[in-house]
Amino acid sequence: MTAPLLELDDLVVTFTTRRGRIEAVRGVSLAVRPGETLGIVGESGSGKSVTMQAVMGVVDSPGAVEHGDISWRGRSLLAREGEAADIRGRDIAMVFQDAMTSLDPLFSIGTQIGEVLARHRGVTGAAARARTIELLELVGIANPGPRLHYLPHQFSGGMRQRIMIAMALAAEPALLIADEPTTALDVTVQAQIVDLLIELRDRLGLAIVLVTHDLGLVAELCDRVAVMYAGRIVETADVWSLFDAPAHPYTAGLLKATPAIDDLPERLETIEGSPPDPSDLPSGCAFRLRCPRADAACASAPPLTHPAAGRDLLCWHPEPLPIAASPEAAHV
Amino acid sequence: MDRVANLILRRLLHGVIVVLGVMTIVFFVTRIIGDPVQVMLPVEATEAERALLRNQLGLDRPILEQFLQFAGNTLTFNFGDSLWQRRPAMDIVLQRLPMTALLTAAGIGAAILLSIPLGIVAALRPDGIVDRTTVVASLAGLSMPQFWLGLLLIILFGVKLGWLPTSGARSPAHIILPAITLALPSLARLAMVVRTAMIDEMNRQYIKVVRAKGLKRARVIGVHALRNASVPILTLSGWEIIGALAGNVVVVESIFAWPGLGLTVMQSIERQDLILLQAVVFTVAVMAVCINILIDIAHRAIDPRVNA
Amino acid sequence: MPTPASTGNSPGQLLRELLRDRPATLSTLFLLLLVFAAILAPFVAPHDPATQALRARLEPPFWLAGGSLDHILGTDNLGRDVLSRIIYGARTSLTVGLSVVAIAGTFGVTIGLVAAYVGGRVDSFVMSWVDTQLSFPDLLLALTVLTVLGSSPTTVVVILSIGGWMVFARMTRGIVKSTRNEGYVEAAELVGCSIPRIIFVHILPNLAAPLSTLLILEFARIVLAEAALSFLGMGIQPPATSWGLDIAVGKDHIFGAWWLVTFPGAAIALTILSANLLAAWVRTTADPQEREKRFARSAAGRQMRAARRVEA
Repeated sequence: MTAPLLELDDLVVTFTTRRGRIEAVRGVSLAVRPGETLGIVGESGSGKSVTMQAVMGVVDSPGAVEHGDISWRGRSLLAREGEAADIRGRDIAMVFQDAMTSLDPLFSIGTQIGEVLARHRGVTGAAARARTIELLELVGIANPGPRLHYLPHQFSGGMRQRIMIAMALAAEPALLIADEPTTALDVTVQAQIVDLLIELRDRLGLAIVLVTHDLGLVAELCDRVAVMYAGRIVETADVWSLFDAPAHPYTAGLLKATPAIDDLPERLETIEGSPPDPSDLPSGCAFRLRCPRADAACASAPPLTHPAAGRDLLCWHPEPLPIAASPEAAHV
Repeated sequence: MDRVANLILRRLLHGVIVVLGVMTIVFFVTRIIGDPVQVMLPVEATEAERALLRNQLGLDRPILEQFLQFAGNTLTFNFGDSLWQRRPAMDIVLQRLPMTALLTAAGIGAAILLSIPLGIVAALRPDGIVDRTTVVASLAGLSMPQFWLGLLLIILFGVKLGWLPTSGARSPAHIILPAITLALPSLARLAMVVRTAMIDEMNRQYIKVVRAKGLKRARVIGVHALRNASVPILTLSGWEIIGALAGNVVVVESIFAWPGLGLTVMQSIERQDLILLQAVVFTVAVMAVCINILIDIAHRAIDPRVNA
Repeated sequence: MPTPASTGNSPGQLLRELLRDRPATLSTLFLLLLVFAAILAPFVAPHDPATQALRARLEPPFWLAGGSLDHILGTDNLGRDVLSRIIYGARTSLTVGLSVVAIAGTFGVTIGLVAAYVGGRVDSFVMSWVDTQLSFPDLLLALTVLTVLGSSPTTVVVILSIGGWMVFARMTRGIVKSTRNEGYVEAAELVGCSIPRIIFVHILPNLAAPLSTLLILEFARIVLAEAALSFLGMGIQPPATSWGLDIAVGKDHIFGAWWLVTFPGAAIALTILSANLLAAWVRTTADPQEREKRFARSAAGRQMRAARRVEA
């Protein structure tokens, strides 16, 4: 296996609020390899966006990375601020959730893309203009030349998300983080953006981290999935084995709650209860109060196990894996 | 360009209405509610003297005719002779105006130039040492009456230390104390607004995006956040300049005997010279209108989304 | 959604929260002290503010050579007691400040409500009037009018009120317009609640917090304006007392008797400072988000201080 591009090691991000200290991210470890597409799924508030914001160094006060490390090609980003600033935006780029508010309203899109080129590639003037036009064409903006001077509000939401993607790709990153890139968009536009991401990945050999709560999107785009619940990754697996045989009861619940087009059940199942209050998490497994399989053991923290090849799991009582899954439970 | 010209024209028209409105208020207050003759002549003046002045000022004619005459005079910048100096009031105003312009430029200019870096540094670390100091000092500055501040500066630098001149305008050093007095309350307000606006902008989503692009901190703050924050800063700056011209210089100039329009206001009030006072009010109203137009144009340059 | 409930804390809760904020507590105490001093002036003031004692002219405060405990803050050029004049001056400042705020506030809120409810041409006319009047600060106009009409406390109050209603109108209009679009107000309109009922039950409670903040800030501004007018000789006239007037007298003796300027000015400055601090507290307390930030900051401050203590 090739060396990972991005690695998170036991990352903890906390927020200090009136109701106490909140751990939004509680010890997340993951790795993203070149060319791979990793999906991170979970309900809102599960810490998936905060994790990615920590990678980009944009967690704002009162939040802070309290523990753990983030490294790029084996070098810590947290230890070397200056070097990290060069890597962010050049090697790792991020597309944010809300395209409507993600662009500076007062600068033309040409300027906003151009400043990435100037900062990371030293390209300015006519060369930058040519490259910007090329990027806008790449993301499917028709007739980009005259529109370089347009301001963000002159574009529709879908167009803005395309511009955001063009801006993220400007410095030719190896990893693109896309945080709910389609949620704010119309359904038809969503499909276009997804197609664009697939096309770009195949064409540019990008690695992508896709943060979403949309399992359909994950199925379409991703190689591997990490499921987050209450600040922890509870299960990681490659996308087809996870969809075929979810091991964590939460993953199983999520899948049952998602309609499949070809096999629409009469009634969608839901996960009982509501996401826990992050300032007052249950001890042990945070899902246990909503979990149909929970028992007394779940009140203590579950160990990390590897019930199958390429699968990581945090659960005392996983769903049984059907296909020759020898639970070689390796305690870590 | 057409649009800008159109905008300026419309704003100028609006400005003329504002100036005429201000002057109409002045007209009716002086001619109808008050009696200019009674104000301008000493109590012991004879009935003949009163009649003479009434005739000179045209007060014996019908009120509508008086008003039209007054409006016409206003539009031609002609207010008649000052009673105090016996020469055209507008001449006196134009002669005093540069001193006020100088004082305002020095005081409010300094306030604007200092408030921006101060507010930015404070905003970058909310509750840091610079921020706390700025907030406390601004609150103190906001709370001190300007005239009291000026007098305290005179006591400290003029009387106790003897470092700076406190009265008149005979040397460049004479401007220091009045300019500081004029500047401090404005500086306090501006610094607070810069700070608040910058904190607001730094919390916006697009700043997160710009930071994630790996841009240098100086560019994130000085280009993206500052440009977005500059609309309220600009608005308040304009307001501070107008506020200085339309009031604060009266206080400051009368404390430091700075020979500008503000001192002229107090002198014409002392001498009951309504004609001169009208000319000053008119001039200040015109300047306020012009500054508002300039601010509007600058606003549009900063935020191209605002269209005419 | 800014429902009335978001500001509906019990008085006891609010008091406890106020006591936790030291600057706001001190400000409230100072303002209360001022109110009591103004009401009880004849009993608290050591001397009559207008009594002249030509033998005791320009006496310095008691801690300086030549001063006496009889005149704690010294005497002015006519031998009047500075402290007593400050206590009586509080009456003027509070009376003018509160009257203007009451008149301008009532008028402005009413106009704002009408503009927001009637809408259309009335609204745009009122708002352009407000903008126009706001674009031209009023001190110079006030001076002109006072020159012609002669100054009395009544004219001062009237003129300052005429120059002060616009901010109330603008704020009221803004809040009413935005709350009218809230779901619960639309629902109330749909089920046919009467307009007065909607205004009083559903809309005005949202106005309470921003209006209190604005009232306090405007009070501070008016106290400053009255002091400035009186200082220039165009406001309160002798023999009445006013802080601004006292400073004007002190100005002529600035080279010998600094206390004549310093103490009345300090009284104004402390009043304004207290009002500003209190307004800031009200604003923060009424806004859940700001409240959260205030907590986060004080928590961060506590952590930092604790860390420093550990290091030390």
